[in-house]
Amino acid sequence: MEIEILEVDDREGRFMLSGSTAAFSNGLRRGMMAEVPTMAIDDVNIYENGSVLFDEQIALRLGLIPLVTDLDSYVLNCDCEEGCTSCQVSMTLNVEGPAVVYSSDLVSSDPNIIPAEDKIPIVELKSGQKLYVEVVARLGLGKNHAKWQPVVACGYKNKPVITITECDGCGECVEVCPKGILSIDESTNKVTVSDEIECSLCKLCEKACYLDGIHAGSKEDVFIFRYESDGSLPADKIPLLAVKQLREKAEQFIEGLK
Amino acid sequence: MEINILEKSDKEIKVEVVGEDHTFMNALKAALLEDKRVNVATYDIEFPTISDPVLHVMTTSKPIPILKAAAKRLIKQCDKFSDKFGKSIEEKQ
Repeated sequence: MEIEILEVDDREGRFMLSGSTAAFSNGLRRGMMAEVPTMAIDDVNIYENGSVLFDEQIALRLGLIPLVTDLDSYVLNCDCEEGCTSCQVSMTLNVEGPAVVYSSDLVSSDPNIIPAEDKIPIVELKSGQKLYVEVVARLGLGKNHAKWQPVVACGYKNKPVITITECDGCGECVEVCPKGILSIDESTNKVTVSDEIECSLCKLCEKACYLDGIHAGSKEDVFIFRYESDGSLPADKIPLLAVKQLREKAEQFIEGLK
Repeated sequence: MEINILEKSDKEIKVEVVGEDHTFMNALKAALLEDKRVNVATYDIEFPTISDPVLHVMTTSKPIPILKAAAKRLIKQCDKFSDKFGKSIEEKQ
C-alpha cells in the first residue's frame, strides 16, 4: 500500500492510494462520510420566534450549520443521562430586527465550538421581529443524520491510464477531449497526454480516433480520492479518523467472537 | 460489537453482526476471500433499514480462527494506511 498526497489544505484533500482493494477504499469512503463524529446542533428551545419561518424550519437550518469540532474534549456516547459538559455545548441566539440572522450570531458556551462559517444566513428579520433560541450541540454520526457528516463531495475513482498505440497526428482526439489533457507534440507529430489523472474516462477520444489507436482505461488497484471538509474537522485528519473507526470495528469483531 | 452465531459446523458458519453495515462487512468479506482456506464468503442484509448483516462463510477448516485472521488482516491494512497517510502528510507540509 502506497499513498501519495496530491493536494491538501484545511478544507479540501486529494490523495492517491495504490496497492489497495475496492472493498477497503469503499470502506474508507463510507467511513469518512458516516462514521466520523462531528458536532452539530441537535436540540433547539425556541423562546420567541417572530420571523416568517416556522419553528421547525429554523431548527433545521440551525442543525445544518457546521460547527468546528474538538474530538479530544467531547465524547460521543456519554454515560450521563441528562447531558454534561463532556458531551454537549449550549449556545444562544438572540437577534432583534431589522437584521439578517447569521451563524456568527450564535453565542457558544465553549469558545472552541463555534460555527465553521460566519456568514451562513438563517433568517431575515423585519423591524419588530425577534428571534430568541437556546440550542444544544452534540456529537453524532453521519449515518444518523447528514448534519453530522464531516465531508461533502467525498468520492474516489480508479486511476485512469491512456495508452496510445497508433497516431498520425490528425488532432481529432485533442479537439474532443473535454478535460483538455491531450495535445499534439510538434516535434514528433503525435498525441501526448499531459495530466493523465484528470481524465474522466468519457472515451470521446476513442470514438474520435479513426485509427482506433487511443485507449482510455483504468488501473484496478489504484484509487484517487477527493473530498471536501465542511469545516468541522481539518481535511488532513478525516481519512485517519475514518480508518481508525474501521480498525476499531475489526477489533470489536475479534472481541465479539470470543 | 454484538455477534450472534446462528449456525456453526466444522466447515461452515453463519453469524449475525449487530449494528453493522456495508462499511465494515464488505471490507471483512474481501479480507476473508484473500484466504485460501475460504471457499465462500458473503453477507446479506435482508431488509436495508431494519436488518443486521448475516455473514455466511464456508471453509476447509475450523471457521472461527479464519474469521479472526481476516479481521486481523483488515487491522493491518488500517495500520498501514494510517502510517503511510501520516508520513505523506508530514512530507507535504
